[in-house]
Amino acid sequence: MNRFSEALKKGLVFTDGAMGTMLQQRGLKVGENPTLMCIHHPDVVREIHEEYFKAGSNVVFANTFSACALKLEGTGYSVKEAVTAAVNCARSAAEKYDGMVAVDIGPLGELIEPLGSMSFERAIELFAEQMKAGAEAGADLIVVETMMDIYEVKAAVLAAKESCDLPIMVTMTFEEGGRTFTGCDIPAMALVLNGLGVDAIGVNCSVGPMQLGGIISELRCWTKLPIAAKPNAGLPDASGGYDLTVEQFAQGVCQLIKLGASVVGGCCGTSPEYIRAMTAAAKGAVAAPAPEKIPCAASSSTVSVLLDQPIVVGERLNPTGKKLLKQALADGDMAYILRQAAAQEADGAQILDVNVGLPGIDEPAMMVKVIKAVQSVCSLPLQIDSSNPDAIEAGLRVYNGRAIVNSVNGKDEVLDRLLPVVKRYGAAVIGLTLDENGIPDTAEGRVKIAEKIIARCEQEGIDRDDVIIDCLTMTVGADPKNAEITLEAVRRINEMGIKTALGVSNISFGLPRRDLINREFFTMALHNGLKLSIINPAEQGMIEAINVYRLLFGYDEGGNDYLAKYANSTAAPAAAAANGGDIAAAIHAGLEQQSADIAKSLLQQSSPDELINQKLIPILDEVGKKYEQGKIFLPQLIRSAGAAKAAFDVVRQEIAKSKSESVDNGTMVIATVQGDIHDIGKNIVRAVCENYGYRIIDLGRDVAPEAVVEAVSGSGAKLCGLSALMTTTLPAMESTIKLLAEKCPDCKIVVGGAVLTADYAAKIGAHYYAKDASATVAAAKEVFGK
Amino acid sequence: MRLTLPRPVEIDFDEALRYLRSKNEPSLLADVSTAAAVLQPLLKPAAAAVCFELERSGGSLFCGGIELPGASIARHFESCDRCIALGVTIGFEVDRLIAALGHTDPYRALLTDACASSAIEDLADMATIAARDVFCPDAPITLRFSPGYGDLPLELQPKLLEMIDARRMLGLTVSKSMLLSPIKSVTAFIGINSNGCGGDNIIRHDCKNCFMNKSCPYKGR
Repeated sequence: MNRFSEALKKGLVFTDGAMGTMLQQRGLKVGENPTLMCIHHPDVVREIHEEYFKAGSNVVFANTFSACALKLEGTGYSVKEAVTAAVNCARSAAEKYDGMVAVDIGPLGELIEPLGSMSFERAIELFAEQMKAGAEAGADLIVVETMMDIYEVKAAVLAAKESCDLPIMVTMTFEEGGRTFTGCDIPAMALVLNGLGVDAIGVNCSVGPMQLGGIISELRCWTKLPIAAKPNAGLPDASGGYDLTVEQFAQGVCQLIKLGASVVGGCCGTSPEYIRAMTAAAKGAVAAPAPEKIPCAASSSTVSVLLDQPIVVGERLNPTGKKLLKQALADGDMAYILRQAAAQEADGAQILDVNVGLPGIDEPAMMVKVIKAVQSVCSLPLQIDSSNPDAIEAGLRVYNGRAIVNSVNGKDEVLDRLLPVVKRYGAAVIGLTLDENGIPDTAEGRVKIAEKIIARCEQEGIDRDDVIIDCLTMTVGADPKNAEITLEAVRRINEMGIKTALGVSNISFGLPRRDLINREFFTMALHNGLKLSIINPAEQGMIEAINVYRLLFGYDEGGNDYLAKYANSTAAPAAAAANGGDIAAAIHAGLEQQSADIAKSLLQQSSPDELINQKLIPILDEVGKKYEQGKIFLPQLIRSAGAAKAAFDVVRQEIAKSKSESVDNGTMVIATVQGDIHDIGKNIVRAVCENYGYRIIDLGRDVAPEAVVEAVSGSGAKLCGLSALMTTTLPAMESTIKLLAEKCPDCKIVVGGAVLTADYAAKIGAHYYAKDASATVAAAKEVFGK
Repeated sequence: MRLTLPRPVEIDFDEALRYLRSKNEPSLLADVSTAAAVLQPLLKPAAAAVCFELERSGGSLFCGGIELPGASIARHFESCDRCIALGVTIGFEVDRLIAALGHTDPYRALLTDACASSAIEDLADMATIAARDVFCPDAPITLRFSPGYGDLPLELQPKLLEMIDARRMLGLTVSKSMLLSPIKSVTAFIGINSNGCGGDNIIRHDCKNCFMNKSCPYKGR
């Protein structure tokens, strides 16, 4: 066992206090990288470490907080040189006191996608470089601290696990409200880090010890790991000082120990005096022990969902039987996928299942792309669904939160391959009750397979609380006994204290009025103990069934959710069929529902193609003209585009149903260029252009030139729209155009954005400059001839 | 240091309509107010400021040891001897909401973006006064001057963030292409004339004090 883990077992571990504050007192200036002090003035740094050891610290943090490649750029020193010098300073001070040295890892300074533009993979590389150097220089542990983004923390922990075998402690910085600046809360932090297998977790910096009590108490409920607390010396004042005396600080830290902290020290504003008072006051104190059981939940970076209650898992991000989603996946059209995700969230899903399996697709790469896109706009936890183990592994790696894996089954080959992956990334896992011999046709047979899966998970170190069994729903169209077998299996597995899942609607496959069967079966399944209901949340009957079940069985405390949803509602009236109506007026007024209803009725008289080209497009041209003339403004333009889109969606669904050829006036790829994250303008262009029957492949924002070229050549698009809002990102636009001209010379390029002019657009090689969405449509009409 | 804000951030509908380049039309105003109501609880306003001496040597201007290059800021700070480095943000939730709406409802995304712009302007104004009250309650101060104004390079942004300790104080960072994250954030320098008297504080926007006063499209609207 390593020294840090041994020390944790024995009781309290005392760390040091501030390094930055001490260095500033010794002449460090604003803007200077503090790490360089270890090279230029090693004695100064060593003395500070030594003072902390004298004050009672067991562990000091080497001065490597800012020793990553990004922050050392331009200093003339490599990461290895800087980290080695810093660890050497700390090591030489530690010898006399038999102390430990941590390699201290601070934030990279640039945010990871989607908040910033650094890729997750690049972040892992940067952290690994720093950690490897620390381990080679002889550090005893890795400390990841002052973090505000749990995604960056995950990158750091993966880097640590993959670059050395030192123990890992992670502390994040919380605001008084209990969230970090990026919105991560205590449950989300604990769920991710419990799963990834670190050695201690906690809080540093933030505020003084008096304000941290609530956070430490909450953390104690969510983790069995040792808890660390390194608060500031109170709150800062105008002169740059902090407001707690050494005694007040020491007393505050003792309170945190009572609440569960066992690794304690100080952050900003503290000094060896603070640490001396703290170690003296904490002598003999005992930290509150870890709870025996912690809640089982899935989480995104900001939202956690407890799994021991009836939950709606949205099933619509799965291409099986969905023509439009298949097309979107094949095109890499993330916008369509994100709309599906958002719609499910709005309809009442609490977790989203993500499946991207299509014949001929690079499933691991697509899984990564879709998960990154979905987690950028949707706060729900995700369930990673694939029969391809590589896709599951790739998805788990980049997921920003604690995922559920869907699924393993009783086959040894599958369990051997996937359980270590589930364990490594700390996910919960769904086990299907089938094995080498197929799906048993008795409840008993399915329970047996469930028992095997649970046992194998426990052998792998996965807690049985984190295993969910899918008893499998088979259609009663094939055998009327199917419902009974499934329900009996759910009941028995529920009685074992194990959570269950079902893909509910399979029960009615091949039968008429599936909604009737689905709803009744769903209620029965809930009554037998079903927890994760994998359903289509757009089917309001299903959502109503689970809402009522939650109310009747005490999962909806005080009936608050039920009342919020239904207090002002009445039973839905039969949908009135719209009889004609003026679609032009509806679109001009921006009325979405009305436009969709009228489009539906118009489709009874005209073909989809006629409706689009003879009705919708002329109306949109008229709207565009009014905008040009200043008769309406941007908001009205967008609102009309939204209404036209609602009509267009009706047409698209009709096309998908009739399996006829889709209306395709030409394919266009659009993107905001690399380094730029402004996409309002690009989204407006998309909203307007897609109503002209163009197939729009929207690559999103911060898109690398290579990705644009790949999409253009893959789709054969004849037009590519690029957007940039900042002068600093115009070079990225220029290099994208250059690469496009070289690799896809047939593709015309239209550019737009606040800082562009027609002259500049021509200078960097664009074929068209569009000052707004209407101008983009004009360019498209010219390129596509319609 | 973190500044204490005297009141919640306000979203000014007229200001939002101005960002939308639109006129006050009842249905639009109703939609703007709905967007504002959704946005308001997601605002996590935070402001931080640090005060430095200004130094002039060899024709260059320095603030806390960092050079402030260019003629524009030299002119802006002509009568000043100290300077406040200010950072404000309304937080990441706003970015998330606007990004999500951008995919599902571009109309609401546009209105929300305009409301968020109004919110960050209000916060910047409020924080400017709060910073003056902390560092120089009796002295005149200049308008805010941000990297990217005039010939003050945008590339100064990382140094300015370090001066404020913006990451720790506000969760505010800057990307390689000099974009602030959260997007709805403002950083700026504010000059202090310690020897002036308090009567002529220039805090509110006044066109005659702005370097865009000859070319501004909004002037006179």
